[in-house]
Amino acid sequence: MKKALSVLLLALCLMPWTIDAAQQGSYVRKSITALDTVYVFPLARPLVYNRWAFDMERFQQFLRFYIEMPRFDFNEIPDQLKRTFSDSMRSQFTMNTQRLTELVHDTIVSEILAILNAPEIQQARRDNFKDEASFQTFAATKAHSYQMTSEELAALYNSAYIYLPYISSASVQFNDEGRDIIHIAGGIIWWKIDVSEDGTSSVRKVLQADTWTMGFVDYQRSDYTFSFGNMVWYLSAFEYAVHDAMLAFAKNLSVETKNFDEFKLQAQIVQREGKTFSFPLGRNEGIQLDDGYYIMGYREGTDGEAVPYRKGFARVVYAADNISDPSTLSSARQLMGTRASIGDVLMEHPRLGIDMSIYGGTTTRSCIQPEHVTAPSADPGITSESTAQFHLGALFSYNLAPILQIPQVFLTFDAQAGFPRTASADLATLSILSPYVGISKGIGGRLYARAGLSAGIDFLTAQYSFDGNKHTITHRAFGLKGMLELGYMLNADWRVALIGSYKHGFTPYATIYEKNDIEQSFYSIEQENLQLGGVSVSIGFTYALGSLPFNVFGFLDTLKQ
Amino acid sequence: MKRISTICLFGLLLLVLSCQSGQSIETSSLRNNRDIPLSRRGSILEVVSPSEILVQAYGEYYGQGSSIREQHKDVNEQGTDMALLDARRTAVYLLLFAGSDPLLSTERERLLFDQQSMYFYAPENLRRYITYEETLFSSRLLLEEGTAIRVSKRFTIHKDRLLADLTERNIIVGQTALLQTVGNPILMVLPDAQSSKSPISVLAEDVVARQSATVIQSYLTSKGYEVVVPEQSAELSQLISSQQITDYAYQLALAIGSDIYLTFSGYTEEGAYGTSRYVATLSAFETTTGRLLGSETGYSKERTGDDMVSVEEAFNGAIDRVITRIMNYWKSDMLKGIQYKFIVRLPEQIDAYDAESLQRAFLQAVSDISLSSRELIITDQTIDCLVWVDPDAYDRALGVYQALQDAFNRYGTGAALTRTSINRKLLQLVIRN
Repeated sequence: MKKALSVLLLALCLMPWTIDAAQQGSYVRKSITALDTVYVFPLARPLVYNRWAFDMERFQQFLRFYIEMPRFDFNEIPDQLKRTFSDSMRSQFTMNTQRLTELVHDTIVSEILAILNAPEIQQARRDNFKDEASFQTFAATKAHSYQMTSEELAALYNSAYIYLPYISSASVQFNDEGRDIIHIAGGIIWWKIDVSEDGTSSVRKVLQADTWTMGFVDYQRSDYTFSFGNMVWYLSAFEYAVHDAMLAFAKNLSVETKNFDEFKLQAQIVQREGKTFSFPLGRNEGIQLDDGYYIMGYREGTDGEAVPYRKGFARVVYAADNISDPSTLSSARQLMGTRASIGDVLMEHPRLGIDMSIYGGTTTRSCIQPEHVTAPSADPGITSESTAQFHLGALFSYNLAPILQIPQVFLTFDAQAGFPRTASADLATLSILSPYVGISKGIGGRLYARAGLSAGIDFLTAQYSFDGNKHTITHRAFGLKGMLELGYMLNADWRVALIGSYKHGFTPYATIYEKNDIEQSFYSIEQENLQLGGVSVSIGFTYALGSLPFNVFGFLDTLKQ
Repeated sequence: MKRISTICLFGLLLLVLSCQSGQSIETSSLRNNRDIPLSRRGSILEVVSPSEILVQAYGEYYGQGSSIREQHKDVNEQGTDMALLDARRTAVYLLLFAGSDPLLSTERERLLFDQQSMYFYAPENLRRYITYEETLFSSRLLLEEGTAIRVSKRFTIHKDRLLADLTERNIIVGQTALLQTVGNPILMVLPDAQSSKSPISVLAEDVVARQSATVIQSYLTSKGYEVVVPEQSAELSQLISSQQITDYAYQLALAIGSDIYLTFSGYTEEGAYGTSRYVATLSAFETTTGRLLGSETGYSKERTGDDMVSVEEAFNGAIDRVITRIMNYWKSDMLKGIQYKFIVRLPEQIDAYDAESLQRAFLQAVSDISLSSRELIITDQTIDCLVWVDPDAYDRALGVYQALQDAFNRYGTGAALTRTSINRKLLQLVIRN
């Protein structure tokens, strides 16, 4: 086991760092055009065009929020043109990418070029395309002329993009137990406008990213209020699940979009102090606290070309407000890799901002006595006290740093399953399900520590058969858990950690007894001295998610600064 | 025998190895001489102002250490800083040595500079020369598997400060020294007009030509040159018409007496994405002979609008290079003395023998008063020649004329040497019986 773990660790450490094509230097703002429509494939139309379930307006609202990021400028085209495009698209039963590309070119591009040609637009965006040295030229210093040069115009014209989300399938997976699941599959297409020196334009598809999400229909909830930013919608259970799926869909496409090389934020390191360095990006480009950035170096290739390679990984520790003061610099702290130097390039490593940990271990000092799991008029489920348990858990940590402006603060949702140790001859099978919500704070770099506090409910279920009857006893008890994690970053996405925790379990607030799956009204089952907590030691692996097929903590995204 | 051959082979091997190590030491010491620029690669981008030049320069650093690991470590620790220092040195180096018109144009100047190069490449002096350094690197690359590094950046170099230091340390002859020796060089700037048109009328009518002339004059005056601006006048017209020459600018220059005259022209051409750029051509001529000293083309950036900015930008690029050639010409001419052009008309009705006697006497007189001379045209009616005189002996054209007259009279030809007109460069004379 130890050997296998070592091999796994080594494999993770040596995981090849694939190099994305990159420009050395800085991010040049792109301008984007939203077509404000979603192409729905024929297969998805029955659900999507059922307005009762699928609200296209809200879907577009989510898409706008997640896709139209601060790193972009926006070329607003007239609504009439969008309608023309949308009508042309819908007038045909099926469309392929080639046909969509032609349609985009024929209906949209000339208008975008007209926008880019507008002097006021050029005036507003010219600084995006001027580097520092261009303000030291004769034209700028003596003549105070800031007209765009042909190189800058080339950059302006050739940095315009158009996007169109699409839904390739949407379906409901019905379940006999009433746990229906909504599935939405689709993606996004990005086109780039190419303008040659003589003004000839063309459009080419540069990115097609797919995603798949789902929403769980929970008919038993009492409240189906879905909030997103300032908006609150009162929905049905089905609509709620669709909204969940739509939000997860848009969020995944956001990461896919950020992951496109041309859209990745990047900047050179201009100052360094120890492991902390500064770089000229900030809120204007949408930098957020705790964002991860690869440190890129460049080496000379065989033909003299610059070949990028990853030197390390850094995390943003200060997101500068370069909107009010363009000269301020953001800071990042190097977490791993060879020492970064001034001139190295930081390149964005887009993630959802949610970490998922899978962990397992043992718990001691819990206390489940035979009388706690003894059904009325039946033998005890266990013959002796159980004080230890094995556990497995999944922990989702939503990074609150962009909201609270404190690095490495997480909102956690922990779902743990515990299996108390019993004697092999015992009748009952015991299990503990513990959903906990908490908060945690991390410190350190590659080697890090994290402490957290969470509260939740423990569900102890004991099941056994006696005298031909099936007995099920369920205790529900509140619990409070303190956790300390010591971990090590294997690479930018993977961490391994040793977790110690202490959970105090309170006396159960409810105990349910079912005989042959029928809840019994009058019974007496001992609750005193039941302790579902204890001291736990676990080992876990954490992965920084790039996509997630369902919505977790999505309502918090609008609070990010 | 076998033993001897083994020893020989071993000896040969040692010899080869020692040669190789010698070579590597030599290469290594060249690479790691930390006082002079190593990279020496880059380009001059733009003349920002008469004093400042924007350049892009590369800098390199090769890691120190006996093993690749040590060299890696060295490059990681100080590679960027050292390569950046090399880039700064290279930026200065580019102005001194690179391009068609470097500041150090003669072998002597380069030798003198080499003896004092450490002063110019010292970090504290580099800070004086470099008035702007780009924050970001244009590129930063690891070379040779990480044992070396190359960076590139843009810098603005204050050329005048560099020139002042070069002059102060007697590496080049400064303009002030030139002025003290040979007096103010007078330059004239004129549009390169079509032969049917007077450059002065072009200046009066064409806004772009006027702007161009202003730009060039502004540049020259800021560098301390004396610039004359020709204006249409009856005297000038008469002076010009008295010469049988078709080149209007040449006539004007001669008439006005400039040492050097510059002609300019330019046109606008279409650029990419609906922009346009201005192409400026500037030529400098020796006034006395009309000899071309240098001709350069300058280009503005392609931009939309701001036409006059483009005109100035293009001429700034051209004049900066042409002025270096003018200076080089001036330096070499200074060694010969002050130059004058004599155009002498001989009496019309004399025989060939008398004409030859007068010519001989005149040329002898010229030889007496000058350091050197060169005959351009000698006919029965005319003598056209260039004369270089000692500036300490004759500081004005009138003095030259009087000395020449005295010298001519000493040869007792019986003829009289008189003047038709005299200006700074041109003496139009007549020999009368």
